[in-house]
Amino acid sequence: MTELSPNEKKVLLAVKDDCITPEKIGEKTGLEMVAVMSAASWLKSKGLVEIKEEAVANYSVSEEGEKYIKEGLPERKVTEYLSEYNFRAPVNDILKKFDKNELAVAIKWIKGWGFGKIDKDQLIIEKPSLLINNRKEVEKFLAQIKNKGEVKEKDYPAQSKEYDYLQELKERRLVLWGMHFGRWIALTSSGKEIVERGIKIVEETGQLTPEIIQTGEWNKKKFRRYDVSTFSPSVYPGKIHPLTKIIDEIREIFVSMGFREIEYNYVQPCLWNMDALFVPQDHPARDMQDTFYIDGKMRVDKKIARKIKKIHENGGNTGSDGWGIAWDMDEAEKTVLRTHTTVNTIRYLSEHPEPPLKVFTVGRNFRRENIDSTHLPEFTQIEGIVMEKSANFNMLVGILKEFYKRIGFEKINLRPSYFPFTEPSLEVIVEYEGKILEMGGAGIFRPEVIAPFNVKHPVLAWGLGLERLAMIRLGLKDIRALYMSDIEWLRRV
Amino acid sequence: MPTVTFDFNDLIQLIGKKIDKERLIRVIENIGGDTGNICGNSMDVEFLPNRPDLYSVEGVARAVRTFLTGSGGCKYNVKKSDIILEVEKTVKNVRPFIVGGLVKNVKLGDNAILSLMNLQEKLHLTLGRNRRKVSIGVHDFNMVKPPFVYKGAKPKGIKFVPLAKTEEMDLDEILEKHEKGMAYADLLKGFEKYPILMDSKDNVLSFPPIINGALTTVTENTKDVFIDVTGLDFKAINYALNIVCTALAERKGKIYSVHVFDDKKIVAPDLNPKTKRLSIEYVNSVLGMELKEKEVASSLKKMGFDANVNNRNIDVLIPAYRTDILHLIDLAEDVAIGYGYEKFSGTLPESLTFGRYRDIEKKSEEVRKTMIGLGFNEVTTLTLSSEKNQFEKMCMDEENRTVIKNPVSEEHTMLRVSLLPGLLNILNINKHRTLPLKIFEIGDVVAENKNIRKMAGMVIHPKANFTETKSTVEAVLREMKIKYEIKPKTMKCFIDGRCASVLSNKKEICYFGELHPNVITNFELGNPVTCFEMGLY
Repeated sequence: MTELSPNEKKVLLAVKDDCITPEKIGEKTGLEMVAVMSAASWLKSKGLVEIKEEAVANYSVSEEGEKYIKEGLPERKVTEYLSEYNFRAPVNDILKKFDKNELAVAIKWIKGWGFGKIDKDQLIIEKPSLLINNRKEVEKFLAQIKNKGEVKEKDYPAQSKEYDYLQELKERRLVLWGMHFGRWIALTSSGKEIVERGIKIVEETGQLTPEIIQTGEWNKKKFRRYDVSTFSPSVYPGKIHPLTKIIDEIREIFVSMGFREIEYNYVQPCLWNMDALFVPQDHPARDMQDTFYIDGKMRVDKKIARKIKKIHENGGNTGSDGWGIAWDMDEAEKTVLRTHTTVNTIRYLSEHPEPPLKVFTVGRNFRRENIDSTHLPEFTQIEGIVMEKSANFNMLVGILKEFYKRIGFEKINLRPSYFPFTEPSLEVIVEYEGKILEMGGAGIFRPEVIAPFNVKHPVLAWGLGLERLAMIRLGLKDIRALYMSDIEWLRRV
Repeated sequence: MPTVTFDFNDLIQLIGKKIDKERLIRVIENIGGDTGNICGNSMDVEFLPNRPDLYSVEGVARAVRTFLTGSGGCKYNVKKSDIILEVEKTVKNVRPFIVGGLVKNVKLGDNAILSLMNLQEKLHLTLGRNRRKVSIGVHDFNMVKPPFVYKGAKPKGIKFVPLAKTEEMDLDEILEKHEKGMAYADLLKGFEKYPILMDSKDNVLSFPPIINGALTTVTENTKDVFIDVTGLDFKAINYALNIVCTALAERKGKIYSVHVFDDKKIVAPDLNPKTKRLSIEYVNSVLGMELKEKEVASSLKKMGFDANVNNRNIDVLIPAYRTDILHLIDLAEDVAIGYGYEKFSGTLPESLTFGRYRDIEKKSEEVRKTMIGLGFNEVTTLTLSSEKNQFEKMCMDEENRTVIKNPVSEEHTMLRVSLLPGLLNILNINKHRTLPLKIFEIGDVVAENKNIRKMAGMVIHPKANFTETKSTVEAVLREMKIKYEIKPKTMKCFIDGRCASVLSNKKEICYFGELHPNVITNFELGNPVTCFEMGLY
């Protein structure tokens, strides 16, 4: 047999043979309406009761009715007044005592019920005592309705006096009519069977309360078994953004490998963003097409600028041929939004030329792109450098293998690549879920790059794009999800 | 990166050695090519911007051949000719330099013509900086008669039929009406005379850097190809000439010299290799290997250099079409590529250093944890913003800011000065989500071109109010162990009388309040919003 909760049992017993309203069940069982209905609907789902719903009319006392409860019905008041005049008087005389409307109502009902008549402008009451007694009963009934708040027509059998009174009150608009949905609960045949077999109620406890605990009542209580598969509403914790998570993971990898974290401003002079990195002054990356320029010029260190100028034009004392084109200070002082985090590493290097040095940076960069599913004008780069006396290409390979293993790429392949500021340069290729992906670049800073800062030892550098890594990790098709996030996605990701 | 498209069979024929596709792809990747689309016999390969000598199927064939055979530098003989190209002073101020070359007996099939056109276009874009620095003209030599003259001409003084047209046009007409003229007119803007290259019968070969004459159009019947290269950089135009001449020589052409009578007399093309002396110690210290002289030399030969061992040094002959060797380090890279990146097994750094986070990041992490504990969701938004979002929609007066000179959209015209508009935009995106929403961001704003770390939190729901946000702010301050006092503040984005300032040591570190309905409706939201923004110094 299906298990029944104590409330369900109580409701079943209260229904018994009747077809009964939930209110009645409430009265009988002492349960709150919510508890009654909840138990009833569980009983319904178990096929033990049926719940009928039906629209019913009910009545309550109107404003005019309230007045008559206080003052008496007009026909009774007029009749009692006329007792002094032998129950007959000219209408005009009565008007001196009563309001015209009230008198009209009284006359209408005196005539209507056949208690009297109008003869030659005289009102004559023919059955005064009958009238007064009858009216008093109606007034009493009206007062009863007021006490109950509302009554239903079916509360009164069709042949009863009350039924007639109610009809009169309805007609006179002394009671007002309203609709509401009534519910009735009745046992089904299997419900009846169960009730006939007998139901024993053992009180079971639902919500554990402080009272139950503190009074020690719990010792005697039986705790209701809950349906553990019942629906429970979703709640969401505050969450860290997935990009932050990946950034933090990578920062931890760097720090655990002995790297120090650095960062500089987004707004930089071209000198640091381009010239210091041996990007020739006629390089396409300097185009207004690719790079965001900012109004105004930025001051740059003249001594450094002079060294860089020589190196660009003829290699200076680096053993390089240089680019062989004229280098212009104006170009170096132009202001840009940095296009790569290598700005950070070269600036730090310029301030810390002595080995050993291991630093990293995770920062936003900017490029002049329209927004679509694979491009944003902002992106985050992860970059690290190592400078030590014996640093070399093979060491770079070793660092890359270790670093990529720690971010989850067991095996990497290296291919030749090109960056204006590194030589040798390489590209890191990883295999992820059967796909071959480019996952960052690396190299050794060119002699032309480190010479102006008196850096005497090789600087190994590498970097990769965070968003690309994030999209692969999160299985994202649209990069915009990261920066224009749907909260629902953030909750679930 | 420039993409070279070629026919597989054409490439095999040019290599002159049997090789299967798989192996070919591997070799191409080993020399820095990125193979893209492979469709039947057609193949796309992207090459690196420092190797313009690989922007033609002929150049790729040469590189693959030397990589496979280790045969070293390719020798291209330049035969003497009596062709003269005279340079007049009148052209010096507009486009000062020109060199030329002749390649005779070229076999020009469809593939070859297509490759030549593509090479020309790629060199224009890269080495030529979109024709400004270098532009190349290729001509059917037999249609014209030397000596040639390169001079400045008045825009209306000369008429000729340009390539792809049938009627004569003067130079101004070409700049105004011809599609190439319109595309590159800027390069000649403001000059009184335009550069022009003519033969002894006043036939126009080219109007650099705009267009060639139709007369010298190269077709499959062309046998002898004359190449002119003009530009602003003498070194660059020579590289371009060398790359084009040697590519055509790969098609069995014979290269002939041209005498350029400029300030000095030059014989072009100059295909003599440059020499650099590379020490074995240097190579090994850069690469971290213990390579023998022979290994270094053979690696260089695979990469197309001639390499002669001379004690512990190697004399390297750098082909005249290699533009990328500025320094010995560039040769060291080619040794590594020739030797094979896959043979480097890797070592780890020897020095001891201590890892350390930035202080501001540690502080940010702490605050982030507090916000998560308070049930807020972290979001990230862009630093790029606009006056409309930062000021207008916030009902705030414009303040000093970092303005972008060349914005790409109306949405991104400046760097943000506040995180709040970004958070409001996130709420706007999430309008249809059930409330409440509680979000925060930790990020940099930019003032006076400097980054400043901030944190902002925002709450939207029907009963969001001042007290709620004040409780949040105080919780954060408590966790940060900051002593503070709260003072009333007036800001146009908040309801008057419902905005406060948090002062620490008499300095404002945070403000918060109930956003004004004006702001809420400007971001198309329909519920009360409260927020705060604080600096994390």
